[in-house]
Amino acid sequence: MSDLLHLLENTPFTSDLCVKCNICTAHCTVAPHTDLFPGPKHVGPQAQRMRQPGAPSVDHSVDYCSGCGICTLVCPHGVRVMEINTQAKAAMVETHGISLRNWFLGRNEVWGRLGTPFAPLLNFGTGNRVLRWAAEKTFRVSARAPLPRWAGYTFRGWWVRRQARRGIRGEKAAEACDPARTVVYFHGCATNAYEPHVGRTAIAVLEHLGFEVIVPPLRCCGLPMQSNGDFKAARHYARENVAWLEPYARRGIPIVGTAASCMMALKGDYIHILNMSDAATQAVAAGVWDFMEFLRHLHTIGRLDTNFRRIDRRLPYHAPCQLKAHGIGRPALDVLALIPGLEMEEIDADCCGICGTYGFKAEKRAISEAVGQPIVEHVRAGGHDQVVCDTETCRWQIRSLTGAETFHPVMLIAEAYGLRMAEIDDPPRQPGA
Amino acid sequence: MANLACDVLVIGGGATGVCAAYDLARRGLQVILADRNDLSTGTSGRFHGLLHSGGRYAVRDPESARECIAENRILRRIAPGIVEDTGGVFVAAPQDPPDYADQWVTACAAAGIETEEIAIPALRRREPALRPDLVRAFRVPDGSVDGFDLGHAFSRAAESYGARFLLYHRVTALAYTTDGMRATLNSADGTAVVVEARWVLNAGGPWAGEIAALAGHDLRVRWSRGVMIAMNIRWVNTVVNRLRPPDDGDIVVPVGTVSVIGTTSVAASSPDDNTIEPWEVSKMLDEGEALIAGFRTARALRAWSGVRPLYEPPGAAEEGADGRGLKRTFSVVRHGPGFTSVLGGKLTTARLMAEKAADDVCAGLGVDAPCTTAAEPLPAGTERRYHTLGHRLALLESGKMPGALICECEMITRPQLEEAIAAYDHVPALDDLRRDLRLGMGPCQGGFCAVRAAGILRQARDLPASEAVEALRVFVAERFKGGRPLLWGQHLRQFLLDEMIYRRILGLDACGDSRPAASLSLPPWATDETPIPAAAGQRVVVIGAGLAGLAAAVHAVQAGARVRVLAAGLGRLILTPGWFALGTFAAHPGVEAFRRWAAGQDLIRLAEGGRLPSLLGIPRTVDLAPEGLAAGAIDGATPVLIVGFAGWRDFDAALCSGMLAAAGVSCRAVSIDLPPRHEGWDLSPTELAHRFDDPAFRAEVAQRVRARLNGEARVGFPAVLGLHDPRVRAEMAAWIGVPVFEVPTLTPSVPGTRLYNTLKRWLLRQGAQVQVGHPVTRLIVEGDRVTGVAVASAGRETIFPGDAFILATGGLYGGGLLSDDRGHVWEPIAGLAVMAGDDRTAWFRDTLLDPAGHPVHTFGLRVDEALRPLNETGHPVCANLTVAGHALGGFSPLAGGYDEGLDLASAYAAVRAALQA
Ligand SMILES: Cc1cc2nc3c(=O)[nH]c(=O)nc-3n(C[C@H](O)[C@H](O)[C@H](O)COP(=O)(O)OP(=O)(O)OC[C@H]3O[C@@H](n4cnc5c(N)ncnc54)[C@H](O)[C@@H]3O)c2cc1C
Repeated sequence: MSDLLHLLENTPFTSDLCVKCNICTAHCTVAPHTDLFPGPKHVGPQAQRMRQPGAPSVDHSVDYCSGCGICTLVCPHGVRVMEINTQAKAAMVETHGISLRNWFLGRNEVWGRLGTPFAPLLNFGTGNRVLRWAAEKTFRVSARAPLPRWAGYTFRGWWVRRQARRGIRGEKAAEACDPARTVVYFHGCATNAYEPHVGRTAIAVLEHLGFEVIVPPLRCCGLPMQSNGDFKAARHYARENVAWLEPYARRGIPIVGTAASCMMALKGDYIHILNMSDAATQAVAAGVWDFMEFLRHLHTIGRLDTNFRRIDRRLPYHAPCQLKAHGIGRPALDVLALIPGLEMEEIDADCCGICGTYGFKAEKRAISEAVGQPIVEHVRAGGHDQVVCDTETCRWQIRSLTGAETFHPVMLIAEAYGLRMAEIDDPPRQPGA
Repeated sequence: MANLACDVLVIGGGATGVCAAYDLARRGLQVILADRNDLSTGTSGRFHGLLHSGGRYAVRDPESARECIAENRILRRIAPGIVEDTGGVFVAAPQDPPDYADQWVTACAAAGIETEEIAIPALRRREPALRPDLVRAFRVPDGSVDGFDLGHAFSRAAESYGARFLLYHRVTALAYTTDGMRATLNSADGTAVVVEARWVLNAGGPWAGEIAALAGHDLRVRWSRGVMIAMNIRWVNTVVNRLRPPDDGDIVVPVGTVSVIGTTSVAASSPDDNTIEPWEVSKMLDEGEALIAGFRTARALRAWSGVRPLYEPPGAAEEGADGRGLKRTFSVVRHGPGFTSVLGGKLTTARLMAEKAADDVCAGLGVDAPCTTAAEPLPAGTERRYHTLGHRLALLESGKMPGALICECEMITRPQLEEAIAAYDHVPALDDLRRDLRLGMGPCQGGFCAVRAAGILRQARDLPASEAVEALRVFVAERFKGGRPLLWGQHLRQFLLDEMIYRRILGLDACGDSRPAASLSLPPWATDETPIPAAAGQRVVVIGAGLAGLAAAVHAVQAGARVRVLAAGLGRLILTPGWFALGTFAAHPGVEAFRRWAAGQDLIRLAEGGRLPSLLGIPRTVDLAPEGLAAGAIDGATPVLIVGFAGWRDFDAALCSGMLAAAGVSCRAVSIDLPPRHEGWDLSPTELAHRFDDPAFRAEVAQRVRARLNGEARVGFPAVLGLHDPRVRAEMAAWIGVPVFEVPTLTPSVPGTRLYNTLKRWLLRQGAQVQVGHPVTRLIVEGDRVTGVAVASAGRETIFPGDAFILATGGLYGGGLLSDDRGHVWEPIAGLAVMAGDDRTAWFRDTLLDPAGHPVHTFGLRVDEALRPLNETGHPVCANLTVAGHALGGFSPLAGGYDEGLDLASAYAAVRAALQA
């Protein structure tokens, strides 16, 4: 931290930039729906001036911040409001400890993996009203929260088996890869346990484009722990991921992921929220791509196959908060615009309300649902039964609020390429062979 | 003329005086303390805030060092509530003399000051703002002490032993009598008081010489002035000293919510010399930079200077003009029987100074009670405040500080203000409340809290609205005086925001919003009537999401272009009253086009303006306004009811109605409770507006208002009648039975937010992309065309391509221009040519609300007749890049009364020109 810019980019110090204009207050998604949250300006830069590093945390209203990050986006002055809030939550956890519920919600990776063999049972449980009611009473996990369904197999398991079928064991080391024809795929926990088909489709699209795909045994990105204030655990996972990814990043091998939120953790949160400003973390951040962003990039450099089949549909698209935070525009819209016949309309909604694990919490469920109303209105008014969106938890939330089917934009890409699941499981040719 | 008698009259209510009053009273003497002002308004209120460990003096002035460390320990023991135990460090920068450290360590040891070396990485884990290239660091037991708190604590302690305080009483004459002295005091209201005292103790600080002279004595005081700057946040939580022989700007002290850097040492011409020279400000920033990289770009909040009294004993040798060489210990001087002076020293050693002075007084009076102030803590209950940074936040969060939060920056609530006001027997100035509570001392410098506090003052003292508004004006003027030496960078943006609030939302400049700008000679683009060319398929990139940027996007979409708006954040739209000042641009086709567009948008339909009430009920002349605001046009004939919400801080109905009445409107105010009674955190205007979107809520409000109607023909509400639902106002009017209008509130402005939301939604529906949080950092230029812009995305930059580009990044407020303390103004994206003055002291006129505006308002980009920005050699930078809105130089939209006119007209012309290129 020796140059000027750095100082005022250091999250807590960005409170210096706040001129109190209230733009963040006006656009906060949570504050209008509850008296318990004093708004982003107050819990952010304002309270920050009164927070003493190292001293016990004295404020708790920041717990109602959902972390959607719209405040940081709309701030014309460069205050990292949401990031300040998330760090304040971590200070709370440091002082008061973490609730069992929040600890549990942060361990997406573990319950996703451990639950897989028991998928039918668990899916019955999460679909059962009585059990959900009991869970809400005992565990304060909302009975209305859009819990995912276990797929019954993991993406990772599928990948390892598939590689084994092709006689490949372990992942190719960075030095052995051709940077121009290799990508690393980061699947994330939700793809692993609940939506492995998204990962399979992503692999198929990448292979269709001539890339050799590497899937290192990465950990949870840490985001669910981070947003519940458990920075210690989040940093632990973050460091493991960085250690895995750094050699690939240093070789210029793109790290691509379909979970826009995990990718934002790697690109931005490790640095600005978890305060990991070391060179390795920065190198990884610079090499990470959101999946659709990567396709858009391929198009820019003339490497995207635009031989798309026609899809005659008009579909609403929701840009997740975490995707907006990338600062890359709406790559899904830019790429899907290349598919003939397909018309996309961006829903005018700042947030769907789920915010990772926020909308799962009993005391926040009503807020979460209220935040998502603009999406409900849009979908109803347009009579849509499908919504496109780049992150898993948002898709579950939107599905639960609107009843519409939700999917990642990569599904449309695969459809436009005419890729079928059977081929995805058993690729017709070895990439590069 | 009143006559009082006492044993000892202490003159001066600074640290030394209050400690002396306490000491003497404890020894059983009858004490009166007189100060010409409030307590701690002399040097003790204008000092650096450091509870010295003595390390600073260890090498050169060991006696001072020993006094400091001893008193430091005593003060922590007897008055822990006024000391924040920050600890301190001495750090050596690479440029500091390398051999000084060891010499200093030895000297500290000799003076009894414990030091402990700490590795730089370990130090930086605690203090991440410090430079990594520091060479050595040592911990010392420094602390931070608040002069006002010290004054309060010791004066209350003295009172508990029977001392009396005559504040706002200036001693104007002193004469020896047979058994002591007679002092004549003049009070602030002009009455005189005579005090017969057996002894007088002169604790007049830098004024001690003048006081001694009243009795004919020659007390030679040299004055040394020092400047300090409070930085907006606590860059460090430990006192940081430079490890070098004492010099300018080598200490940073965390004090309350800020960190203070100081000081200079300049020979002053009088004890009242409070000048702050620009070089002193720059010097402080330079020195700060040596400790904290980036310090210069950080925000300086207030600057002040104080005058040290350095006692020059008769025959003292010249010790260098700056006085830094004169010793910093103190002196007690017995002038004659009945008269002693004490001066010099430090706030840290005030107790010791008082002890020695009191010893002398007691010896003179034949009293042999010993000093006991060092042995026992201050009496219970005399210390009210507690020094942890998070104290107010903790109280607020725990519900122990209920009521509306009025000063958000420093966290002061309505009940606290009411209590502070009640403590005065006269009507206090808002500035008194500032000193009592830190009102308006935070980053916004009163922009939000001053008007709220004025409303509370009006209510508490039942003042006419005009008097409360006058108090507000005075406060605004004073805050500007304090901020003016520091107006560059982010703090300049703050004052530009505050100025917009004062002039436009509050209407304090009394010159109306829209005025024909007589002096403005219109450039060709402003009168050109040619339409925007068709642009099927062209990719237009608009940089900036203020009114100019979004209007440009609308025009471009209407022309058939594919539009992408990229913005670092949102623009000023929601910081305005919500109405349109068009001025000279009223007839421009861009304005016409925008009106046609707006006519199709239910939520923001526009109507002709008129004279509309500001938040304070001051009439503003407005060209065009959303229907809700326009319905408030002042006609003088119909009686009006202004409705406020009990406890809601962002609109004061009585102030508004009072000022409207003064403008000739028959007017009355009522305050109604919000249903259900609101107990949580304060609602912002947009949050409250959101509640009005709920039909049940607004029906309930309407019913309550209807019950209070008493023949009024119109009802005015703060502008919170619905955020998304366009039917709210009409429905409420139907329920109440008379027309309803809206009056602007503090920001975020609901009419402005409605306008932004409507623009954005419309653009998305048309397939345009609107992306905020996307700061553009540079242009991609090929030949004479821009082909794309780079955005600082997470991880790396992203290039967005396009065919035509509109730069609508705003001016110095919007962030389209940046500025620094050296008077440098620049355009950060492409280094475009800027029209600006480089003498920072001439950027503003003397008063903030000067009707002519300020030179700084005219700073902006230099463009040609087609709005293309020029480079330093006067040539257009690129054919397909044009500028719109407040980024344009040479205009003075705020004072000129054409804020929105400029945005709308230039947006249209900029799109036209960029598409033609
Ligand atoms: C720039 C600067 C920085 C400093 N930093 C520090 C520091 O960090 N730590 C530290 O320990 N010390 C510091 N000091 C020193 C410290 O501020 C002073 O030593 C201390 O405040 C002096 O207090 P005092 O009571 O003697 O004088 P003052 O506080 O000046 O009090 C004198 C009082 O006399 C009153 N008065 C004057 N004339 C009359 C009259 N005719 N009738 C009635 N009343 C009258 C005035 O209104 C005033 O209130 C600093 C000083 C300066 C100038």
